Amino acid sequence: MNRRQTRELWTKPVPETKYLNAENVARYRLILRLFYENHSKLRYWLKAEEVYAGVMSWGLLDDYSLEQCQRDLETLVEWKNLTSRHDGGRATTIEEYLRKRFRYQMTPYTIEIERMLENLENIQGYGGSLEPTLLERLLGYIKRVRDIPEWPEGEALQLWRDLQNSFRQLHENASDYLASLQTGRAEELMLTEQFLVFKDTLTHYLRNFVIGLQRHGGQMEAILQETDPEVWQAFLHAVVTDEARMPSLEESITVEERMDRRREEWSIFVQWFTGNGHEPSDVIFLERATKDSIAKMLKYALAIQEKYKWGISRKRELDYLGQWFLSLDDVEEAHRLGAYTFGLYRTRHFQGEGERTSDSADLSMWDEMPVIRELKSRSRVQRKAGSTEAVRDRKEQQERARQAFLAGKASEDEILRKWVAMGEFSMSQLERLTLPERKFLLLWIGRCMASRSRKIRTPDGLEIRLQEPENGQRAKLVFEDGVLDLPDFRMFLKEVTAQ
Amino acid sequence: MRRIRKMAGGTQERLRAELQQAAQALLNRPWITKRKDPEMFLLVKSHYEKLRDWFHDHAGFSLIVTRSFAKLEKIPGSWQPWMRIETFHGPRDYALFAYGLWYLEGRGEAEQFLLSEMVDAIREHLLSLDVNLDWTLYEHRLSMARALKKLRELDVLVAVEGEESDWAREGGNHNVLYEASPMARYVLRRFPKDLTAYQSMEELIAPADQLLPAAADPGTGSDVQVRRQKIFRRLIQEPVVYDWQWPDEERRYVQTQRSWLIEQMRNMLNLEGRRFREGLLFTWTDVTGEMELFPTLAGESDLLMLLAGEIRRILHKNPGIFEKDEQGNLLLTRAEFEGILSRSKEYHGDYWSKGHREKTSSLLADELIAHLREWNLGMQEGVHIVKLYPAFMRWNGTYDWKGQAE
Repeated sequence: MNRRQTRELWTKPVPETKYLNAENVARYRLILRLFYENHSKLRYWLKAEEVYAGVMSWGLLDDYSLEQCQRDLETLVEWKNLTSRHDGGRATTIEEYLRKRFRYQMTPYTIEIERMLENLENIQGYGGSLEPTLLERLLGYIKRVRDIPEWPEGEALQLWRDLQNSFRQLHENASDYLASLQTGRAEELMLTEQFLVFKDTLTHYLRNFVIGLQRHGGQMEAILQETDPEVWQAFLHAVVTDEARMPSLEESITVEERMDRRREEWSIFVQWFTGNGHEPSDVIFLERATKDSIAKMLKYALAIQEKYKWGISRKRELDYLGQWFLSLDDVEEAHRLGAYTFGLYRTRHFQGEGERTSDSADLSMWDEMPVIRELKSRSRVQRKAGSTEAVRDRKEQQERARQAFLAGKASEDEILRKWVAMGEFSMSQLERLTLPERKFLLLWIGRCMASRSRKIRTPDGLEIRLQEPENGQRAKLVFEDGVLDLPDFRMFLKEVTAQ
Repeated sequence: MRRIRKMAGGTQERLRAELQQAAQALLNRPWITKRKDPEMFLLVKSHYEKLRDWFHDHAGFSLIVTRSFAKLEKIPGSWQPWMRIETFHGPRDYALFAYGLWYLEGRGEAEQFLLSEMVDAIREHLLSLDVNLDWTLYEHRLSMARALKKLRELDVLVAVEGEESDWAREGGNHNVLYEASPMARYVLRRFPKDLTAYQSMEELIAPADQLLPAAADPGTGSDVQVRRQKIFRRLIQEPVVYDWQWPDEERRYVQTQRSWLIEQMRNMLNLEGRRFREGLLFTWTDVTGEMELFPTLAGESDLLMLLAGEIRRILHKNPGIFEKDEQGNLLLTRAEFEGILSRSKEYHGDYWSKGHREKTSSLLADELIAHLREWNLGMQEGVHIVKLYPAFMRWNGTYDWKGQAE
């Protein structure tokens, strides 16, 4: 506990310890013990069924059902001993989903509580812990070997056995542990956000181990290399002598053979700490592997945090966007913002290609042959009696349409040509006008009057300028269907090339 | 004939056709996934660099390709009313669509949840922002259901059991079991800055003002590039942009660079371009395509083409009868427009769908004018004038069939 923490913490109740004295204490304790055991084996997430099966396998509870176990798990979640997460397993119906398919995990607090209980019970730790103490113990044994001048009977063998046991434990635990960090499961775990919770504990653990390795491993190496080899030989002799004294059912082997065996075991032990000519020691290897694991974990943790952060930012962006949409009051604006942000629409284009009757870039879309489409009937009537006989040949039909079209174009052009040839005229000079002529004239006058410069350009590439009469004379225009009185404008026409 | 050509330009032609196919698929689909469309995905991958560079340089669109999908993030050049999610009725639908994605954010692949959990989370979150959504209100549920349906259409949400429409109709006692898909995070496009840094809509589509090494020929400034991107964005996405619809600078560019523009559009997108007095016109010459095409399958397209033919005949008989403005648009009064429509109905109404036959001419005119607007073929100005744009005259629909109708 940090001294500087607020004192309020000293007086708060700790719900996490409720389970130790609750009514169904046995059930709770067994459940959490199971979690703790699994935790030591790096299995963090358990399903209700697994918990139930695990607890029942100890045979310490009678009359316990899966439903009760489920309820107990919920209670432990409430007391913050466990956290729950929806099981990744796929449900295929709403009902199945609702059957609360959760997985549970121990909270860091509870891990500490169980660890304390374990210490209290003085239970040997479960496999897979990297205990620097093992190294310390080994170092102690080696120092004793070095410092004992004479071997009392039995002492050497006892020490040898302790040393070999500790060594095996160190060796196996370390490789188990590192191996377990390399398994797919652990990697998978490292990719989940829950991993962040353990990352610190785990790296702290590994770091301690590395520090232990460096400190004790280094000392070990020094002692093994610097001590007179005779000392070790004497020790091995003492061990073999002790062994010879023991009654054994084995085929009797000679002292030499026994000695060879011990020498071999010893050299493995020494090599583990000092390496040999062409291979670095296992300590170095273990240190490297541990450091690698730390690095990998930090990398994963970083990636998770990144992903999480990125997720957060996307979440924040989507939240911002959602509010933006809510602040709009018409649908057009919403469609626009949607198009700018999601772009969920298809592009649009015209289908079909008309003939090219001209290569001029100045041809108007009105003047090119159209794309002719035969329309399908959309009613039950498929063909009316007396409907236009179909033109047999599309080409012929198009040709006819084209001729008619060009003819129409010609009459229009004629009017314009006549006036352009005149160049300029006053209204009073004009003779009787046709309807199309009136159409053009009035259109131009109207447009010129609307423009400040009294000048316009027509799509046909004419520039038309209008001059108002100086003293307001008026003129009468005669048409096929009547007379129009208007100011006696003067009109100037000029052909300009289109842009 | 065709076969001979194919043999001649074999590989070259095939590669170009592939490139065009991939480009059009990217432009018109939300994305292309390896799982659902492995061939197209491979096509995109094999032309990745070319596609990426072309869209980047010409339109400022970014192409995202991962191991499992490809997505082109397209941006409107000039927003058109048809650039929308058709099924959405208003801002609330869009907001709930965004909050649906918000809820999906950070969920693992195939992670399951219930509709009730999702809508409660959204409601609670919005309550904290003082926005009151009430799932007991039918309108609110409908809005959410439309958003959910769209998410499902996009495959970012999968329904395992149940229907959101039942929930929309009857509420609380219906539920749906959903599954998340990791694609959810790609629905919202990427922006150069964090989205929360944008205050106005127009900032969202501003072309990134930076010179790209690929496009940096001497003598072009970044403003030229921005202009070019704006132009391509429109040409790529819109049916037609008349000269008068471009701002001055852009119009100048379109007029002076037309042959290059036409060439680029043909090579990359298989769109045939042609210069007319009123502007560039691009057409898609195949019968079907990834994009939406005019004439559409809807009856309104038939009627517009019929009308175009009709007006062509009237003009032929009486060339000056309707006024043309200097942009090359034909001006009809609303009465004239409806009159032509009524005459068409007399002649051809028997072939029309029942709905069109029974509409009043005014309502039918409204419907057709809306269709004109959707395709930039015309509009109504004020109360009395119907403007028909030049491209309207590119069609002529007829009921004169060859031989007997089937």
